[in-house]
Amino acid sequence: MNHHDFKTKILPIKNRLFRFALGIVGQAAEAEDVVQEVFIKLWNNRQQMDNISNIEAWCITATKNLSIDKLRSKHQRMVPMSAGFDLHDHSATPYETVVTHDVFDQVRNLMNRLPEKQRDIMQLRDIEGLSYQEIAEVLNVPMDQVKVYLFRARKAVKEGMR
Amino acid sequence: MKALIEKYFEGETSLEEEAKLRDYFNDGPQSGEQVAEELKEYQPMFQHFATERQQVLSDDFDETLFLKMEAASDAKIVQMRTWPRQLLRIAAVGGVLVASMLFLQKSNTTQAQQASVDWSKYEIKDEKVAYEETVKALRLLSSKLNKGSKKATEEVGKMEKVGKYFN
Repeated sequence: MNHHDFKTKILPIKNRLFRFALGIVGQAAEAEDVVQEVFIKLWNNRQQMDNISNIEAWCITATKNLSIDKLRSKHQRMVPMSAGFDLHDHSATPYETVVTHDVFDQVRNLMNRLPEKQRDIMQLRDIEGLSYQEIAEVLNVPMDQVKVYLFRARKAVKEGMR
Repeated sequence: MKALIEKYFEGETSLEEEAKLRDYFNDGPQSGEQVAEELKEYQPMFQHFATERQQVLSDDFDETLFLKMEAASDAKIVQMRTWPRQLLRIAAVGGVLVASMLFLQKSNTTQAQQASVDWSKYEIKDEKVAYEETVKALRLLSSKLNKGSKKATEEVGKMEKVGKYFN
């Protein structure tokens, strides 16, 4: 792998990895550190990377593992993130704004409480918009299992919202 | 839309259908279209997905990353250069250990050889010869002791002479 390969094949998935890390660590700065560390690790081992068939899968696994390590090492709780969404529209009263924030946090917390595979699959499908085939390849899970996990994850979040 | 959301929770929707749901729950309220009352409970979920999709890395991420990648590459080169030095250190320690082991082995062998000397071969069996040999040894010892005390007396005498100059 050279600079060109890195820029054309790896860099385009940076935001996907960032959101993946963000879903686990809950803080943008931490998630950014995770992605940076993953890329540096990948770059330092670029000679061995040529033997890996699915680099994106490798990156997602590395991002997930590093995010979990970071979370454990700092004894952080999974804190909800509310940045990036403009809730100050004209229709929302302060009361409505607070309620909406709470409900957003609830969705995030419900996703974080899902079993690992279910959470990963829901993240890749509902947030990243990946096909079942892509999810199966990235997470190394059979495609029919992807559907089963996704069904369970959505059901659990739906029931948790009630 | 209700049928579509049921299909979604069954895990049967396509990516296009899921995009439609996202648009309905996110763009609908912005364009003034109302979300059906019975579907409102699902709105935060789809709004959350849309919000998460908007999260991106900061603008200076690439720049910082490339700088760190370069630094990491340099560090690796430095590490490779220091590698022969490390190897030499390890070899030196190994050399000392091997030398110590050889020395110990050798001294053990010498001790073992010494231990195996049969002194009984040199033991004097005849009583008369033994007596003569003992007297000879004692005389030699006595002459050495006398020589020693004479020498000591001489030295003390010299010291006394030297001492006079200091008094």
